[in-house]
Amino acid sequence: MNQLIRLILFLSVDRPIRVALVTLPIVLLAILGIFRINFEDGLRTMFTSDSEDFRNYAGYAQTFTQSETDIAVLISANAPLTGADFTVIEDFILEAQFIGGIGGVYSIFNLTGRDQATGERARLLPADLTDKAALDAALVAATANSANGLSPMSPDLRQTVVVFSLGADMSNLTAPATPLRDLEDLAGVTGSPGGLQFQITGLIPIREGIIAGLKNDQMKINILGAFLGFLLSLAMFRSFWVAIINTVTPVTALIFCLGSFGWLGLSINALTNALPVLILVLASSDAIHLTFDIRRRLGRGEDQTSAIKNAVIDIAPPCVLTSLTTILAFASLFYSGSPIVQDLALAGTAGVFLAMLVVLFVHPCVFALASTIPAVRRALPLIEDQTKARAAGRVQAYTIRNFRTITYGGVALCLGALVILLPIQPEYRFMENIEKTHPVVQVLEQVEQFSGPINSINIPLGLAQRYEATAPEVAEDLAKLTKALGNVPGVRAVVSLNDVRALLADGDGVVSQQELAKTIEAMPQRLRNRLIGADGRSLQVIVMVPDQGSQIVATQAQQMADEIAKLDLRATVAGAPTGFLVMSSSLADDMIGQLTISFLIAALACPALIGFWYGRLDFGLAAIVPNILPIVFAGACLTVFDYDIQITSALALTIAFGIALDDSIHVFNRLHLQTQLDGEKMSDRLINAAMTKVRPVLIVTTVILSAGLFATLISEMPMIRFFGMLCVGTFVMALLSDLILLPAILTWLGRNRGEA
Amino acid sequence: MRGFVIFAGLLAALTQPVPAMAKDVVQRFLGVWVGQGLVRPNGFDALEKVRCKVKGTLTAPTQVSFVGRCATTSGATAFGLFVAQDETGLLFAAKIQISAVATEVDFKGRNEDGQIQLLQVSPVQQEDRLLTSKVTLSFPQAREMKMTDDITDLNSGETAQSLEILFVRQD
Repeated sequence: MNQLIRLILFLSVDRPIRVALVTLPIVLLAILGIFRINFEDGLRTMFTSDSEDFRNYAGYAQTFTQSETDIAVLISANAPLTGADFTVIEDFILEAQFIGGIGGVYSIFNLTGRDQATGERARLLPADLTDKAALDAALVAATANSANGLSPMSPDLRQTVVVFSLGADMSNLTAPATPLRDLEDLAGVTGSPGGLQFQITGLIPIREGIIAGLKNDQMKINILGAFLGFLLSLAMFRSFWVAIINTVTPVTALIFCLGSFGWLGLSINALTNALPVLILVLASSDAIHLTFDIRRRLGRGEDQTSAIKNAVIDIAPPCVLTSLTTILAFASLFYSGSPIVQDLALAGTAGVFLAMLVVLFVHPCVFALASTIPAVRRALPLIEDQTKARAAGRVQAYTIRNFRTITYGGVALCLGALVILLPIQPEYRFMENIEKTHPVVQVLEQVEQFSGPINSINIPLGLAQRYEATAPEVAEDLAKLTKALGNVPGVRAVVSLNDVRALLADGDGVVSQQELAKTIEAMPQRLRNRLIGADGRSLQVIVMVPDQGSQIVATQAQQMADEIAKLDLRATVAGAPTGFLVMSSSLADDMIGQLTISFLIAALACPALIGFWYGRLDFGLAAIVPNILPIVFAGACLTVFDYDIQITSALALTIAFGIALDDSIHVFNRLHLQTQLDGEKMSDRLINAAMTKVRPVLIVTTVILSAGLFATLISEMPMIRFFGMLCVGTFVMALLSDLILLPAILTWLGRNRGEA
Repeated sequence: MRGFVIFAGLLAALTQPVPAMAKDVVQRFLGVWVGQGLVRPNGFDALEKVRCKVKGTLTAPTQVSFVGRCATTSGATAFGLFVAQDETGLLFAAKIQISAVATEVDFKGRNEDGQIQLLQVSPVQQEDRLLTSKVTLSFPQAREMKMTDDITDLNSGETAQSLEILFVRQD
């Protein structure tokens, strides 16, 4: 540590111009890195793991077409659709299929009915779309066409949905972006002349919406965070120049952080989205500690260089320690098996480490350079307000006098919050990452009203050896499954090969195996593979359910498994319920469990590190309750207010723990310095003196940390806003805990050791 | 087999000097084309709109490939017309592919009054029908090509026009 301090003094204080000249090209390099940042929604990487659930899902996803790559186009008119409208829609469907990447289409034009004249199956819509009587009859039939309520036509005949299925090679998000944009362009051109409105939705547009939100967020949140930090510095320090100095370092740290994302190939995703602003506020916090100390020394009459040097000697060690505890909190996330959480762990540890270097080397350099300007030099010295200090000192004295009550109360509160927190349930919904009012989500809701939910729990079926998919025995099994699964609460529809059979049987109720086989063969491959596996020896029953969150999905999957277990299937063997919804629900719960263990690792390791750093067991012990309390208190509030714990909240609480420790560390550091300075053991006077000195800076840093995270309120992603507010709540609680509970616990520990 | 012999014979003729007339006919297929028309997807069922986008390129001095995709509201499929002609520009052999997986069907024919008429070399069994077809390629305007396909069920004698597309050259 001493060598690091000597290096900082040698470079940043004694040779600030050279440090600035070296730093500037690195800043430019980092800015270039920002343009290399990749944005992704993290849907695919979130759950990738070696777990059995994911392996089952991956194997199943190779056999059956996934609706994940469907793009739905909702076509609406103010009045029932006419023949002229359908001509426009027909042309749109024809043209859309020339877009690269489109692998199949399903629309009202695919519906068939029995031709009255020939008895053959024929397209339901008439060849002559201007034949109003024939069209009207076809549309009425279309709305009732599907026995399970899944229709491409709305009951009021004003809306129809066309579903484009992307090719199998379009499974990653970078590839579908082009066909999606081409389809949007085509929809834009097609929609306007006919008065029809074409709106695009589906999982791919939603994922695109999330990525667009991430890009906007980075631009807006970081700028607003930096601006709010500047404004609050201005308000609290009452000096324009001090506010400027306090802004330079965090902004440099932010640029370094974003640049490292670009150069290290790390993505901004739903989890790492809030990291840059977090780095910004962390760097602000450490920079303000240094600023406070330098100004206080200048106010006491020290010269510029001595003040900066002595502040670095006193404040650099706790800054390093606060960074190490935050790095430890991020590093604990490596315990998670999810690649996306591990990416956050890597980005967080790297970002905090870079921010620490920037604060230690750039901030003293900025001070050294700025203090050469007379106007700035005059603004720097801090004259402490002794009236306020005395008033706060009285509050402090009260907490120390009542240390037992406060300590026991704090521990009781912590245990109480823990008891309330424990029943909290993990919860995950894919849509939690996008605003409910987002146009793509709203269009999806409209589509789901008449065309069924896009989400499903799927039952894979293996065919027994001597049966073909078209065998009547298989149909009997499917009928049993449809009936049993339809009884599970929340199920909107059950789709299987029997629905194709039902469509063919509309005349006499009898369908030959040959006719069914012919129909299956004629189906587009992507559509066929929805119902029959690519291997031809497996079937799928698609149980359409809305995504009501992982708890409900897990219950429904279990109920389905129970229903299936009761059935006597002759020609098929049913597998466990699967699909993206089941896999993500199950693995999200596992992930939250892993994050809980990550938190426990951080909760044990960070106090141990503090104790080890200062060689003081009492510091390590004193750090536990005041820093766990804000986390369990926040968790208890989530339970009381009926919020379940999501991946984002579990992450926020773990990271916030690492950051909340910062305040305690600065208290410990001040006590450590006072002990060395006064040469006395722990005492009420010493604790009071240390708290009096550190209190203002703790309040200022918490306000600035919170203000920076308030910037997340403008995020387009609900979970990022939630993350920000959860962090703010935890920081405020941590401040109260450090101002009231920590001195009481320190006094209690000191008395028990016979020191205080 | 017969179709292959005819096609191979025409390919052998490619080694010979190419008269200007022969060149003129195959040159007409070159370029980027967009076609629109009607199709009966299964030969005798109801007509549906069809749209095609194809590109004609010379694969040899008297051989052209006319390849792209065609789409109906039921889906899109690969489309391929491979035409070879003899040195006189009067005799033609062709292979027509209308799906990525279906086998190519062989045709042979003549250039009569500016229309290329191609007859299927051997009928194809499709379920209970034995089908043969006559494809006609004509050039109504300088940048237009019309393609029709008249099919006959040899078992029942039933006939239908299963395809009529007007291609317009885009470049």
